[in-house]
Amino acid sequence: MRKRDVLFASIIALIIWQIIAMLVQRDILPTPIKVAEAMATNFGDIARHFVASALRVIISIIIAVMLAVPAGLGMGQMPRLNRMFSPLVYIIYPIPKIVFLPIILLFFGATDVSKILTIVLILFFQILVPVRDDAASLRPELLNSVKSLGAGRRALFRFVYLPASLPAVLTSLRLSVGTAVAVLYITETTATLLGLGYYIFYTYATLFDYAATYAGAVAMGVLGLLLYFFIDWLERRLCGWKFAT
Amino acid sequence: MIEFREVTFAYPGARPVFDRFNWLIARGEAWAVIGASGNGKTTLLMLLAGLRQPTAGQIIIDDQIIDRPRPQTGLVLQDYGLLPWATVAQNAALGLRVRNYYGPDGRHAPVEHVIGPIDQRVDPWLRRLGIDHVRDRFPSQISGGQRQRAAIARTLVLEPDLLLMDEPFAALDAPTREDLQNLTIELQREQDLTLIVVTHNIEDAVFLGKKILVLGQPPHTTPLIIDNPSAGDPDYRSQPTFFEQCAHLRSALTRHSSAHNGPTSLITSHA
Repeated sequence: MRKRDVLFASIIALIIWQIIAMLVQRDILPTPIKVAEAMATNFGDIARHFVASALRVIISIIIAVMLAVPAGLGMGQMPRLNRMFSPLVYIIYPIPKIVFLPIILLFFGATDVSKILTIVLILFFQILVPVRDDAASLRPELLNSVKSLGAGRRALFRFVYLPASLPAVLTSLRLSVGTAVAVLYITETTATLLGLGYYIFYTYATLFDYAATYAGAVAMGVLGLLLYFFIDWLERRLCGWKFAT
Repeated sequence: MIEFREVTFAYPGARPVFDRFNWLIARGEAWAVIGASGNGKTTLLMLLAGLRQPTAGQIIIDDQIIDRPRPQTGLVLQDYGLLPWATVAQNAALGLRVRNYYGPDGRHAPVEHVIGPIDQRVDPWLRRLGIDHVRDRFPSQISGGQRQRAAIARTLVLEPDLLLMDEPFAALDAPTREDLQNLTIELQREQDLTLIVVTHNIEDAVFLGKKILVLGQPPHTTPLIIDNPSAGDPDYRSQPTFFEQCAHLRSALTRHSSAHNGPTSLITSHA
């Protein structure tokens, strides 16, 4: 997506929002200008919550990638391991992991660990399955030709399986970053005083400061968008061959 | 010297492809292995490459029993086996990177392997094979002939003494095919390589192989070898002896296949 197109789409969305807000004329739908004012007034506060939320989601992504990629590659290249764990993945994969949040809270309490763990749980399966499938579908001819150059299991992992799995990792991350931010919001509405989820919920349910609520929601949207752009950029940089014509 | 000593090989649950098969190849010889699809040509190459092990018997290269890929053996496959995510230069450097990764351990890399700058060893080969100008392109961005050259460069960078090629020209158009055949012969002589090319194309076999191993229907027990001393001469293709030799090979193949009551599916291309 070109930057100019994104800017153009944002301006159109803001204009539509402004028009609807002017037509509706209610406190619960402030105009973008009022929201911008609220954002400027509470900038320090929103930035603090933004950083907390961003750190949680970034740490979750890193942990999920570090766990899911080796597990996916292992299952993809070792049929016995795959046979052992696939039924388990098959059962757990479709369960909406957010339902585990209360259980995780019971075990880990109102800490960052429980929030990060919930997001990791969701991302882990989103990455594991495509990485496993990609590793399993590598053509034997490709593996044989690299083996003939002297590669053993370790070198195959480093020079074939790992780079081959990168597109699957980045595509699944790009697709699931929205879910990760949504889950982040839910985890932050309970048992915390820090994070955009808390800020949105607090300004809405306690302060009735709807402009600030919208400012928080916009900040959360920006967080999701930035992560999306970053992964998109990484994908173009690291998987240039996919876009080569 | 390569020796197949009483080699038997069977895929699990299937009849043997090779049954107490003996075969000798002298250093520096150029061989073609011809046979119809499914007759065990690629299996033979995989055994030579150490990517498959005999069920019984031994394959010995320079007094060493082959039970894993040997660092001095180069393999070029039909579909080139290039990494799609790596550029031509990165693909050509792959073998060296693998060797540097393990170090000179004698298993993955020869003990005499010196870890050094990769570019200095790769660049001359890219130039020699005429693919220097596409060095930063990905395999999907170059032609079939260039991909095959990249695969050959990747193998020759490792200075092999034995080059195995599996249907290396199958997917190429006629001029590119001839061009690469000439290049292969040139390199074989220049580098004093033992060359074994597997093909199902009669002209490929007659042009490349000074000796031609004919594989009929498996199981293979005694090798049928045809001498072809004029192979490798660029003018050979237009000489009457070339066509005579093609006809001779064709009839040998038909005889050898029908002796086993098996079908043949061989290609004769008129490039």
